[in-house]
Amino acid sequence: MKNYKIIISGPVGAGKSTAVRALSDIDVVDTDEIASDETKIMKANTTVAMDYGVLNISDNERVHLYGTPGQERFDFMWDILSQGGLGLVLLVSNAYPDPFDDIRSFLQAFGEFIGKTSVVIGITKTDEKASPSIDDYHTELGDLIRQIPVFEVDARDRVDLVMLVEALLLSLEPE
Amino acid sequence: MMREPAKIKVISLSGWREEKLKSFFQLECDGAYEIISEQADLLIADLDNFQDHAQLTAFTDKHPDLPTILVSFDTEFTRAPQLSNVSLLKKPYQLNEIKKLLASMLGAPENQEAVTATMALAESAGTRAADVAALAEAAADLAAIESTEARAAAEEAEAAVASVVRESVEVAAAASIEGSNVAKETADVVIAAKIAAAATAAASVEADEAEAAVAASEIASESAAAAAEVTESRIEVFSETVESSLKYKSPYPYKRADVDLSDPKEVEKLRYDSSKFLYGYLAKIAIQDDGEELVGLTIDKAVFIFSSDKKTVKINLSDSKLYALSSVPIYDESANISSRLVPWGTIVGKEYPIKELLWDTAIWAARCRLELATDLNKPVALARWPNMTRLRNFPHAAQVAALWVKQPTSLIDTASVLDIPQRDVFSFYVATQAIGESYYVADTTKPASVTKRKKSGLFSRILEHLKGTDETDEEL
Ligand SMILES: Nc1nc2c(ncn2[C@@H]2O[C@H](COP(=O)(O)OP(=O)(O)O)[C@@H](O)[C@H]2O)c(=O)[nH]1
Ligand SMILES: [Mg+2]
Repeated sequence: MKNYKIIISGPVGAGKSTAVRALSDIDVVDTDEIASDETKIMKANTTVAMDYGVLNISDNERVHLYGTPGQERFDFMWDILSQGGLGLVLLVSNAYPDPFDDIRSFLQAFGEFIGKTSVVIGITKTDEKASPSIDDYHTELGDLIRQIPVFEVDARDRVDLVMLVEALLLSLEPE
Repeated sequence: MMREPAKIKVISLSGWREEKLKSFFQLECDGAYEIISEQADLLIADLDNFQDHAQLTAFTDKHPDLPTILVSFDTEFTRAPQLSNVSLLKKPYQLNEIKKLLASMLGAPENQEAVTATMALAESAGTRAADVAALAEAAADLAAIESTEARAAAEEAEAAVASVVRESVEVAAAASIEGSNVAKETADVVIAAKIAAAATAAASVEADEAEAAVAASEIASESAAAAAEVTESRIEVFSETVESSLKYKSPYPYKRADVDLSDPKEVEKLRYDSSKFLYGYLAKIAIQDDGEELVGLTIDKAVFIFSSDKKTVKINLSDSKLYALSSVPIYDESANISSRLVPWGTIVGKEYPIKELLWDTAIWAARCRLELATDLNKPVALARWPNMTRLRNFPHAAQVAALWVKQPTSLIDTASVLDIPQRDVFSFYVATQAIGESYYVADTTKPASVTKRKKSGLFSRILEHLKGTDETDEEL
């Protein structure tokens, strides 16, 4: 069995659990812990541990989906997660105060993993807050995201997520 | 001495087509034929009019040996009755083709003037009419494609029903053997049955659509022939036609075949002038500085109001009307650009983000062709990935994006490197030009040698898995 991994990360409430659930073939394994006070304030009943889903591609190929909040105390896991990694799906909520900064810090935190694989960015909740626009992200972040697919997505909409995964795979250098 | 006119019976030809045929017989065939209902020498019948099909078969059963011309959009002529002397004519056809068939089936009339009726008519009405005729024919093509697709879908749906039924039988059998699993399997059978019922419903909807699409073809081809007598107002009729009958389902219905791009004549045929289309008018307004004023564009009854930041446009058209209006050339007299002083909030209309509007209208104007200034050999780069989830997706768009973001590549090379149809490369270029996200780079950055990219089996398997098996066309 060949195992591949796609990591879905981003700030609390950006839509990671929703995305894993929408893509996975199996019922998502919920490993929610009791949220810290801080995250409780941001969103009730959120993931602080990990979401797990799977795509059964063929008899001997499987893609594992890991949703990780990327909080610092989970630093130690990223090494394990990145073995067989195809790339990172970074979800960022447009409704949060500083999504530009969220992108900067997550791209930096996952820098090594992204260097070996690839990354796409999904901007969620643009229906709740339309600004900043995708154009604003490019203006603000410039070269940092120039070659990265940055799409508006609704984590509840599977079509959006599939487009994001397609761009992730296409962004990987072909073998 | 004049010969008696040959007697032609018609069944199912629309009134308009029959009128046209009548005057064609008189004016262009020197009265060699006349339309008559009794004791005909030859029958002309349209297979696409489902209501009259029984009347047709009743007649042909009685007269199986009467020379007959059958016309249809169906290239297989599946509904054609068995006849001993029959000619099949695909729609849209030219009246001259009918004339030729009549001559060969009934013997040539005495006065044989080879008048190409359609051309004569088009000439007299001028190039404008010819333009519209071509477009209406294109619409007929689209409608015909729609109809074929709908039929294919209906067949697929039927196959799906069959296979679901088979599966549920198997599940049921398994259930009866494995006593312990009976409860669960039964639930599966119920689900399978539900799916089967849904699939049946879908099949019948698709079948209805097939019929509607055939009707659409009919109307569209009529507008093609009628175009010779028409001026601008036809554009509106044309969009009505598409609106009312062509189910707006596939906004990217293009099947344009690859051509030899090293042949300048072939390339020339692909050129079009985008400034003549709705896209051209919108693009012009989008870049001009109008200060704080809202700017409006009207084309006949269609209204486009730009917000003062030019990021949003309010439109009073349905998607299908917008599609139709985008596909035909607009003539300056019908387009009107003006400033509006009404507050933005009071304007009623569908809001279209400017990039989505320019992307769509550019693709629909181009119909997989090339703008006049497009250079096929200069490497093209993308400033960044377009916002693909909100822009209309079409085949291979993401693949071209991935390539151009990393490796500027000419249009010619892109099609061969990715091994994809030229039409999709052209569309992606036109669309990204429209939103200002692609540009030429200096020739020097062109890769020394372009090798075909290896397709990754794993990646395409993942995408097939995510999209479902019906989209295996999307290769990596
Ligand atoms: N309105 C809106 N809600 C969204 C969108 N994406 C996700 N959500 C909702 O946001 C909430 C948080 O999502 P969740 O997946 O739990 O976030 P996580 O903390 O990253 O795992 C859920 O209620 C989702 O349904 C979006 O694009 N628009
Ligand atoms: Mg979560």
